[in-house]
Amino acid sequence: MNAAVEGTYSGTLAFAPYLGLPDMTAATTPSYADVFARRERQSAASYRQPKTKTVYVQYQNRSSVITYPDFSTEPPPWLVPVVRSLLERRGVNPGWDSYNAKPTDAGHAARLLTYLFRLMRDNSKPPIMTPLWDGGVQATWHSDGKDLEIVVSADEPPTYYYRDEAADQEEEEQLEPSGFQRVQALIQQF
Amino acid sequence: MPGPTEEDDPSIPDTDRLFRRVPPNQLEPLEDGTFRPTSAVFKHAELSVNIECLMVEQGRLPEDTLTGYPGHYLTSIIAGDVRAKGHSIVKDTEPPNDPAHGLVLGKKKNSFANAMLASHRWIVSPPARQR
Repeated sequence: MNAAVEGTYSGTLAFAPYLGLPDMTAATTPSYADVFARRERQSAASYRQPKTKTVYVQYQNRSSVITYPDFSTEPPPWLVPVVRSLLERRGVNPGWDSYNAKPTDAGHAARLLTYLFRLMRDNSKPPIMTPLWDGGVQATWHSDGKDLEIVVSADEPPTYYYRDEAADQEEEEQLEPSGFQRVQALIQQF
Repeated sequence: MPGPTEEDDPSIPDTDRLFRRVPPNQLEPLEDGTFRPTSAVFKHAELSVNIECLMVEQGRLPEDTLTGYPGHYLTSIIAGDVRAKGHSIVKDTEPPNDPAHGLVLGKKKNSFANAMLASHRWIVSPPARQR
């Protein structure tokens, strides 16, 4: 396996990019690949494609393998905090909210991460990741009376929601196809 | 369990508080060191709550909603605020449910969830972070 440890995050988060995954197949997926296991298997089938990179992120006793567009030699600075937030906060068991919430679905989490790669810049503030009752996930920014959410739920197209309390402004739209530019601009407000 | 089109129960006063448990992974830190629920708390299509008038009838404090759920917190929204956004509230007390259990019915828009977030009041709040 071609792996290199690049450093740590806040002393607790091991962060090791894998530049190639020649021995990782669906049959040999390691047990530590949890949240993004499906994406990891997809990447194993196409690891020679030059435009993606795969990273292994470990936080406490949870870890994930993530494939993302390879824009530069380093992952974007927001990636590790976002994945850590997801690993810390995802719904693990049925009823995790003390009612009847479903466990966070890896596919929905991967979809949201894919959107974030398309929407965020390197200097964007990392959002907080929060599980939804239906197995979906949302990314949330909050600052100075402004709220922005990107919501990937189980049963409807992704949406964004924005509210500026001081300006008495509120928006709620589908993310695709027309919401991307607007959301890119909104993210930069945080 | 009530269906999604069940009519609103007018015996639940508009002034009633509706109590909802909040797990630790649905908290959001604020700049001042306190926490608020995330809007995700209020997005469930059949949002379970405990209804204040039923708890009063049963001689129970709101905090009793947390019995058996250590590590959770308790927030409240107002029945009239929920109805103002077009959602029905019904009682749903058949065992094994809590005898004060109710539901806020209907698919929730993000704007509904954020309106509830803006007006929610903690009953049992998380401790503020050390700053």
